[in-house]
Amino acid sequence: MSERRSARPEGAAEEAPSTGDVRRAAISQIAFNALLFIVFLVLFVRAGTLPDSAWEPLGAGAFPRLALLVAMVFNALIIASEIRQLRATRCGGEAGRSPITPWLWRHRLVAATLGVFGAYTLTLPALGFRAGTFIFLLAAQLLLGPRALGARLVMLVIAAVFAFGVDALFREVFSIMLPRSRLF
Amino acid sequence: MPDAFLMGAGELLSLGTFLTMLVGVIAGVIAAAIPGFTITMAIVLTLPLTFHMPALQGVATMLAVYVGGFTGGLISAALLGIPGTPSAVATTFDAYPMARGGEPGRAIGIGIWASFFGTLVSTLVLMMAAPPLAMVALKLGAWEYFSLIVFAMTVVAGLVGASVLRGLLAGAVGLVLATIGQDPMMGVPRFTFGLDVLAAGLPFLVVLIGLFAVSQLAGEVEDAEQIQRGKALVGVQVRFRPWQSLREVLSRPVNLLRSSLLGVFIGAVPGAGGSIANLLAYDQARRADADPERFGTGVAEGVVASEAGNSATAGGGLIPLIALGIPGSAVDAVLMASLMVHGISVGPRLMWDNGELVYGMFLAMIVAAFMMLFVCLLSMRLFLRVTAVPKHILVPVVLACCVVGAYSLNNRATDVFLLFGIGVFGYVLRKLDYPLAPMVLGVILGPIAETNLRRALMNNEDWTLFLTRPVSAALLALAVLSIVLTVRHRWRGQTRSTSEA
Repeated sequence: MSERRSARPEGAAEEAPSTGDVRRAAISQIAFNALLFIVFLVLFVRAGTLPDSAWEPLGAGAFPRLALLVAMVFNALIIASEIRQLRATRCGGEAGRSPITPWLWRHRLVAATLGVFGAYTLTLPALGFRAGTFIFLLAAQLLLGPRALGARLVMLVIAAVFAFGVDALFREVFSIMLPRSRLF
Repeated sequence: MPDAFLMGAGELLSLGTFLTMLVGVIAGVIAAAIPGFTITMAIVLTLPLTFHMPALQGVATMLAVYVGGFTGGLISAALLGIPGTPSAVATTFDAYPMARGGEPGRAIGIGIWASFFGTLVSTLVLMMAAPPLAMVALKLGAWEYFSLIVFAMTVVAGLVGASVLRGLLAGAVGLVLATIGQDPMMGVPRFTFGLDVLAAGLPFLVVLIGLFAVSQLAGEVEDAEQIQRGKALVGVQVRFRPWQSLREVLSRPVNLLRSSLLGVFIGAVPGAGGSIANLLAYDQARRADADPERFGTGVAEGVVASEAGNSATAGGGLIPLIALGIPGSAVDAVLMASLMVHGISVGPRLMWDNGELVYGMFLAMIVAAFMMLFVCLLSMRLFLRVTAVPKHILVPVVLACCVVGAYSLNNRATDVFLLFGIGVFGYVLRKLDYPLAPMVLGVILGPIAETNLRRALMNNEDWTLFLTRPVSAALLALAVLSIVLTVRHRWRGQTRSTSEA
């Protein structure tokens, strides 16, 4: 039922996590929840400055404060649970080796793809849908795909057909104007 | 009544209406199958095309898009792990693992038949029980609505993920995200920090697309070597055996009927039902199973429950619309708009003043279900070819579709910026093993929970009414029971695995 289970590579057997993996996971959870806790605390204080209403006992800030309080309680419980996990696992021979660099290297394509996607979304108003989407599709396919010339020609065609075809479809059939370029 | 039925049938069963309905079903399937496009967008795009049609033909066409869209959502949920709408979230739990396990044809086949039967059951219930069911739904006050949302959140949080705490946190984060933007009662800006991108809040469809689609697609490109070798989604030959899938669905009659009925009854609750019906149906199927741990690994029971429950909300959502003139969901609101454009006054007297229209709508649902079955069984081998498309093409194209979907909702560039930000956040959550379904539901249900909480207290400041009103108390008790049972079940599982080790 876990989404992690569904993303396992096909045919791969589930290996038991090592002590180092368990400790790293616990530290990640603690750091993430601590960060969330701080953010929620700031928002909780800010919600206290929202105005009350003359017509109801709860004002604009009541429900957000309730939700934030509940979230902070869960943050604290998760942190406590992960600290217990850390104490229960001993530090093995993997101590001292930073896992960050190997992790970043393993996820280099994800970072690059999200980077290209981020650039696409941010430049969409300036470049417009057709140019922006064409550049994004070409760049992303080149980043992810094989380097053969034939494959690259296919990528070019797909980028052009999608960028210009979808724009025409939405404009002519659905009367929806996708973003126009501000530059040209 | 027989006269109205015959008149409705006569108007519906014409070549022109059949053709527009067939086009509607195909459009619904395709639109919802493309991640990011959603059923809501498909229906909204259909609305202006129906202005020049007679009232029943226009509504029947939109219902055809609606019915087709539920099955289209199954395709992206099963093949890509991306639900086309909130009502397809539960479908990803088992249809996606089944597809990635080498059986995408089986996942889709089971889903199509379960959708078909779910739609038929919901239409039959709609025809027989619309007015009394609507009266029951009408008795739900603000207290009951709030308690229903609390119950739904606890069920969902316990349903997914390895950790109940993380599921509950995800739901709470969704509730927090839903408070960004304008306060629903006073219009006061909250947590916007003066930024335009946050001024309108976080549209729940953008959150859905960002959390599920963008994060899922980012996860698909983790294995650099396989991507650059041109790996596709499924590496084995895809088989589609519809008749075997039919046997599998019919061999689970209790699950099918229970999930369909649950989908109808919960779908009849205006505003909230459609999003949670499929999850509640899935939860009930899991609890009733002899081996609940199988759920989430790609079992047929999970697909049957989620798709039957999901499709049954189509009929369920029409119940308050037809009986009371209250739309059950955003899609029903668009249907209502279509009727109003044609000069039909939608209210409690709809069935008496426009009986032929109402019976025509019932028949349209049945006809649309058969059309959906026909279209999907014929075209599914084509859709399944998606599994053969290399990821280096599929991922960028689907990301671009998500941008189109997010932008088209409100024609706002800020929604596209939000899509990226939420997508990155969703990926981080996936890596840290947080379930995303509770968060999406928190965003959808948060405003409903807040509005009803504040309305309840505005009516009567007595907090104890949440506990003394019978339906509200029952729902809150179910919420507590849901958490207790889930925690106890997990604790027992952990104790068992510790003693076996």
